[in-house]
Amino acid sequence: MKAVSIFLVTLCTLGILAIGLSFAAYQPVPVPDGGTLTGSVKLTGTAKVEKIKPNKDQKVCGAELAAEKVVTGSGNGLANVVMTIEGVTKGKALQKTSARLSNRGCMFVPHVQCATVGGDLVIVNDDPIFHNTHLYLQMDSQKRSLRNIALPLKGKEIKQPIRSAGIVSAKCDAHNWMQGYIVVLDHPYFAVTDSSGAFKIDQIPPGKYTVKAWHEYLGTQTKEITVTPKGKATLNLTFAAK
Amino acid sequence: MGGEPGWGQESSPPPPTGGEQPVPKQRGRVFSEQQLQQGKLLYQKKCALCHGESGDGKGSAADLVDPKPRDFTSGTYKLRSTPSGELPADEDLFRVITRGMPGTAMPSWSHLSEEERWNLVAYVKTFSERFNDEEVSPPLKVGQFPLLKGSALKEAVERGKKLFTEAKCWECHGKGGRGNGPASPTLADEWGNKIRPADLTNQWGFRGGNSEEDIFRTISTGLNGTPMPSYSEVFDEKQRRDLTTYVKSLSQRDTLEVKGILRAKKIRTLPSSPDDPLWLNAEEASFPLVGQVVAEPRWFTPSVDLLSVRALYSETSVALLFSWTDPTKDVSSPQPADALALQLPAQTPTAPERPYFGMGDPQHPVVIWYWKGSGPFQKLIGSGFRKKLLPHPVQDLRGTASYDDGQWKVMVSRNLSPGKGEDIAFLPGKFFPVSFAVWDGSRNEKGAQKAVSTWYFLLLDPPRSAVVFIIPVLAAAAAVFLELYAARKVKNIEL
Repeated sequence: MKAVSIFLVTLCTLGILAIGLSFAAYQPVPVPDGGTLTGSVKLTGTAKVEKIKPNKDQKVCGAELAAEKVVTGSGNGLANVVMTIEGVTKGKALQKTSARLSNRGCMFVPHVQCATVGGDLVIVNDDPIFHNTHLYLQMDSQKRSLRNIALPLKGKEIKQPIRSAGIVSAKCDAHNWMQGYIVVLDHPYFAVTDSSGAFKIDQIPPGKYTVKAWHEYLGTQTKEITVTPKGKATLNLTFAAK
Repeated sequence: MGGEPGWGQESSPPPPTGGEQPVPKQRGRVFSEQQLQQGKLLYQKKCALCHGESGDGKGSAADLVDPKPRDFTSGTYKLRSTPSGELPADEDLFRVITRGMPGTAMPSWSHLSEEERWNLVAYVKTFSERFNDEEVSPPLKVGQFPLLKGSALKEAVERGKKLFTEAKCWECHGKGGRGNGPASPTLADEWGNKIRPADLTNQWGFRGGNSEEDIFRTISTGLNGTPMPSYSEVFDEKQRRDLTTYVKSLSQRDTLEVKGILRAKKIRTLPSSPDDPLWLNAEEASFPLVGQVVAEPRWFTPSVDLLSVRALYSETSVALLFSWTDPTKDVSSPQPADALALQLPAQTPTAPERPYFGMGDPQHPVVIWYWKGSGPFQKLIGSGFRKKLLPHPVQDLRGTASYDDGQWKVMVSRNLSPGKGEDIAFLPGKFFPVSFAVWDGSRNEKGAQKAVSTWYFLLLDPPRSAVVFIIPVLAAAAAVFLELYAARKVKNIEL
């Protein structure tokens, strides 16, 4: 009886340790034979470009703006897709990546960007009108307000340390069409696709990985990849327009 | 992942400058299991009706109140001394339970013992996991606001006024502070419900209180879940203090004093327009309005909650001036127009009995003075909400209206003596029952869906008769005469 309980306690302890380890912070290690992942993301079908008609501040915002919900470039490349390698616990050095979010022409610039925990978020208003940056943490079925900062002064930078990972969305309550995203990560294996849909992630330790592609409107996809020592892996994906 | 989701404050909050809150310092307080249990029992008895058994804000009475009861499961609280987006400090929850929230259905619970209120704080926190997972930044130290007077006050107000423009507070709150700024029509809260910026002239309705300390706290930390952002990042403490002093100076009503009687003073000539300075001779009376919930279709969420009225009369006529805050001027279709009504009994009352407040009853009809948009005043006869309103045979009302910066001012006058048809003669010294209704077109209010008041009284102050002044003089003269006479008598006796 006693032996069984000791066995159970040990098992539990090991289990907890295992869970703890899997959530442990990212560990930078030398990656002498790292591989590279490149590829591109395309849109199939035609994307409707939504138009925004500002109801105020037209002098600064203009009479019409194009929504950036779906942005495509040459060869139907899909921009603003965040590519991440999931479950990497160690690898290349984790350089602190800060984000800079501009309120410019009544849009958030850039529309989608990545940052890392420990970096800073710098928010600035480049317009001569009032904006506020209301940051939300996006969760499965809801969102939660993280910060709501007034930006009445043009050019004044506001710096906020980034403390944890997750998808953060930005809204401006004064101009309710404004929308931006900052994807915060706790490892350095990420990229955002450019206007041709291309991306590149380097110095990946050899192994099998799951790659996640996240798009704010078109959803999320995952794909398995294998990275060989100093190898070149390729991943091409498509998202269907909706 | 893990740890505290969120963004940290870069710099520490402003330096402490003293203690304002009458709240015992209990930060980081650890509550015992017994306290939690007692808090739970009390919560179920006192709070669950609105906030729900599970704290989700969906109690059985929730549909009947506006603003809606707080959903405690999200951990989003408007009134905090902690930075934007963060959980409130225990003291913040304690303060709201103690004071209640003016202008909402949340009453003050100060009659509960301090211990009971702390037990409620303990239990309310259990509804959101966030209280277990997240650290709370140290609360903002508000400190006491010195009582500014004279030129010091004037200068602080001037500085604050400049900041009000620079901080673009007017974007939402409007130039005059009535909640009618250019950004106000599209504002929504975190849950997508439309939300109105506070009317800074009616500070009795400030949810978190209207002292300088309360206003400073709101400007500094914002109101979570709403578009009101935090200004600590862009303005330093002194600037926020000046801004507070200016916002405070906009207040026309800190408390809601309801007078039962609307008094009309006698004046030689009546004002000719709503903005005539002659109106300053009249005392303003404010009347609270509530949704019309008796007749179908009921209206639980009226837009206008306060109507201010002034009254004057002359030898021949009586005039009334109505003013109320309405962020949008609605006078043309397809939207319903903003409207106002006043009702009086159709017959001069002979007993304290009043007609039914819902547009009279068959035995006691009412005359309704109805104004809609930019149109003229109409006189209607009502004999109950189930009966159709009929036009009065005599249309003898003269009205003019003006709208400026989020405020309607509507003036109406009538002869003291009635025209033909059933109507009252306004006699000085008599109490006339009077009640009011207001419609806000932008909120789609029309017909029975309106804000109404209960009955009050209109009294034309009786002019002081000359007799009042003559009698004391005569009495004094008589006294002197009698004294002299008595003195003479005494002298005569001595002689």
